[in-house]
Amino acid sequence: MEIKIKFTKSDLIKPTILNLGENVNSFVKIKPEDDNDIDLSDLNWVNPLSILPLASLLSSLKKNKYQFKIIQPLNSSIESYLKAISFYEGIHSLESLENLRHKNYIPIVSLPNHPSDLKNREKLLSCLLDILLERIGCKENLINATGYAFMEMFDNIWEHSQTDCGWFFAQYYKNKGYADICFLDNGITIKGSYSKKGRKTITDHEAIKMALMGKSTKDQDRGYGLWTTKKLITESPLNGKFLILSGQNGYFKDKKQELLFNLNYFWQGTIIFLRINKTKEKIDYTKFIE
Amino acid sequence: MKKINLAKIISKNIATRQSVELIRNELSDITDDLIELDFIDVDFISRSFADEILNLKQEYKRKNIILKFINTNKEISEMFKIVSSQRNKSPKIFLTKIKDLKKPVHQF
Repeated sequence: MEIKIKFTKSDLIKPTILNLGENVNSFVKIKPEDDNDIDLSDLNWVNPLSILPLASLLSSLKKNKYQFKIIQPLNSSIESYLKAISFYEGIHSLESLENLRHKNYIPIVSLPNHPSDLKNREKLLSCLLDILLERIGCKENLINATGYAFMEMFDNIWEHSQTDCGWFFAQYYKNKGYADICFLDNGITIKGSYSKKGRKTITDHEAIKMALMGKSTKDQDRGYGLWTTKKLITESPLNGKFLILSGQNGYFKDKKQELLFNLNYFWQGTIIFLRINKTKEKIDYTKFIE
Repeated sequence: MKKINLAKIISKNIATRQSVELIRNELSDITDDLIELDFIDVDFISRSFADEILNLKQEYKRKNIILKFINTNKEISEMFKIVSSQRNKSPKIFLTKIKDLKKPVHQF
């Protein structure tokens, strides 16, 4: 079976979400016993929101022993870029990352959620944060604001997704002055996390709302991660965009609008996408913490 | 008195709640009444880590063992202050006026 992967050459987030849907719906049709061609030949543009979900889907195919081969992009620059960002399996070690500190991207990282990998994972996350801060502005000004968002999004994967792997990819667009950052898991979705804690009848949309309203699945003193991150990214001088895709629903916020919407597909897990503008301003992150 | 260097056993930016397990491993054979958790060379801690390490502190207090945080920088002290103050409050429900969209989504 041939799966033609579709991409949009657009900076806008909505078309990327729609394209992701087409690709996800194509992947659903893949059968393990078929010889499958994943056709990237038309690929002319890549951003973290388009490519990280695809990386995780391909890794999942490989893990489940599906037969497939990838038809590489005809655009040789894109082909080189995919190789450079470690598409599709990502990097897992600190050493691989340290060699790329001078680049405008942080390659695809897949981090196992396993107790024996805890120390390696923490060091890798620390390095990721350092590199990100070097790209988007003055580290001293941004470490707490961006660090808060970054760490909370990763912690959500380990705490809630019940998946064996978390994914990350970031690209800094120097000419545009912003960084696109994507966190992803193939876990139980936000709704699934609430269901596990007894709220069995809620929908994906209600679960996203509850998560954004600060209702924790954990103990009563927690649950602020998504709420605070959303405010930090969109209401501070980072002047960013914040997107969640989980199950059949999505949520988007920037300074101009806030939207909860249906997807025409199902994402098994949760994707968080941030677009953060480079800034030299110092951000007092405590203003955004309730 | 035992001292544990957190940058050494975890990292200089401490991300996750689970990383507290690395501290637990260090504490497992210790019999001292007072243990210093040294944040020297730690630049940043996440809210989740701060919350969990405060849980650890309370847990050890019940065993009459004091965990003392030393050499916290301004940002880390601030994070502990915020997390501690949140722990004493009832959870807030933040009502955002999110609309369910029936109409086509705006371009973004």
